[in-house]
Amino acid sequence: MKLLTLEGVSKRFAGLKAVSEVSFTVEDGSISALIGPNGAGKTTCFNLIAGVLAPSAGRIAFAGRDLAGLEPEQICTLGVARTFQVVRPLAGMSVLENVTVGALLRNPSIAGATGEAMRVLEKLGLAAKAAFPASDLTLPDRKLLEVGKALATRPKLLLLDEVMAGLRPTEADRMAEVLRGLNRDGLTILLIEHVMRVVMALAQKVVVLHHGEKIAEGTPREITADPRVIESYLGRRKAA
Amino acid sequence: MSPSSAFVSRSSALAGLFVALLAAVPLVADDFQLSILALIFLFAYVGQAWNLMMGLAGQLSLGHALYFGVGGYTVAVLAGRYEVTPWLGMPVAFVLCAALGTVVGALGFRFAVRGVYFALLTIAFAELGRVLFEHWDFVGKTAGFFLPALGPDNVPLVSLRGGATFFYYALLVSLAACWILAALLARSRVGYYWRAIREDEDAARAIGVPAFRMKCLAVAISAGLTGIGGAWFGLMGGSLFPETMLGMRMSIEIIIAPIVGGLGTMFGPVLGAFVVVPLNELSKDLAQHFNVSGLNFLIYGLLLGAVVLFAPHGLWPRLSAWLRLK
Repeated sequence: MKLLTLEGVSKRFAGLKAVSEVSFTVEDGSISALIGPNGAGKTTCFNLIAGVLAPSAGRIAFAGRDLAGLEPEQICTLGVARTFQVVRPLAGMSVLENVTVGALLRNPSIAGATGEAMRVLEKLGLAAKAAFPASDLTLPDRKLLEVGKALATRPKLLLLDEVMAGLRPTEADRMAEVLRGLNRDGLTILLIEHVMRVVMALAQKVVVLHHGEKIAEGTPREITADPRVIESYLGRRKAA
Repeated sequence: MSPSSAFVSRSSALAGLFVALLAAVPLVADDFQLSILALIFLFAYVGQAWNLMMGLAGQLSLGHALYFGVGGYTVAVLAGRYEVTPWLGMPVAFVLCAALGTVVGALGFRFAVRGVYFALLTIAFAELGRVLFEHWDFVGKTAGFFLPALGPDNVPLVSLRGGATFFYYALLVSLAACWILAALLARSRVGYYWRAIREDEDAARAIGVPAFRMKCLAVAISAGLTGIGGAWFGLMGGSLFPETMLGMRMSIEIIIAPIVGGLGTMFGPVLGAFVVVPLNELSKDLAQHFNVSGLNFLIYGLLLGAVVLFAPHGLWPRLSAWLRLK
């Protein structure tokens, strides 16, 4: 089943085409990746799906429902959660309170939401830092918190915008393990990622954007063999 | 239990003790002292009401005099002209001001007017209100609206007007009620959502916070409560003038106590009012004594400057750290 469908989606900013007639689908239960050079339109795609921006043309549907005209909070309520590329903790609140805000979406009582938030923190290995002010966390922990806030809304689809960027390889592996676990529990994931090692290890399907257009789509193996992708993004590796 | 809710319940215990102490004050204080204390409670009350919107939800209003004035005139006109008891007038004032606040808020939030631009919008509406009242015959224009003198058969608990002791208790009760409401809101779902919006509105919306509705709710509650504060102010003074009730100066006076005391804290507005109101009265006396008009503004300015320098987050965070409350 297709959980997310983009059909001919375009976004223009004052003459500049940030995203141009992009179509792709995300299978329910899958991990898919959106890759491409800086400025390719990946984050714009996320903002279009999450309702932060409205597409200039095209159609985005989630679980068979057209998302046109919906506000970000409504799209989140439907089951789409996203993280921000530049992490955005609610700085004046504790780590637990940050995640509790997300949990309150499906769990109106403070006690219930706090309990659920604590379970999310445990899953992410952040439970020991629950009482910390969010502003005191290190970057890897902030990235985890970003995922935690999103997870607490009980999404069906999780949009991850470069959660691996800035992480050391061991930290990235830990994050990849967390994501694989979430996927096993039934969560569909669409991630924007530059760390190809992670993409190769996680994603079943890869969509490549370049100058706002989709230039390739396929399994990681197909993508890495595609001459256009190598030309525009991956580059040629010199024989070591 | 989260650290903040532990803090709130400890604060509640402290607040209960404080209120019990204050309830005994009229046994020892004279009328003048009681009327100053009543004024302190009033500004602590409206400061807390403003603080809900600014300190919790992060929405800056510099035009709260609009709700203060409209609430004040509503109750006074209903009582003075139609002999409607303030017991009924105050709920009417609350609803009217809440509706007015929702309109101002919805207009601003709908068109994504944020931060200082939203603050400018609130000033514009307050000034519009002042000018309207200054040209409105029904409320006495600039000459003011006067409540009839109290007869010998006045029953304070019916007319909600009386002597210094009556207003002392009335405002103490109002302040306590407002404080409890604020504490309950702060630890509710709405309070979490307001704080999330204050920290980062877009990030909050991304995790399902209905920002528009929540911000409108913050303005509505804050404006409604402020309207009742204005009503008490009118009943205490017995006379209402557009410049006093709805002027820019009132908007500033409403926000100074919570800023001096500590934005977004439960005790800040109360502590701030205890510092600001006596200082304001004293500086007015000094200005009169030395016949220097504007001296009180100079003192206000110096006070604010001192707070910014020595306690940039307000006096309460400093004091609570010193008392080791956290």
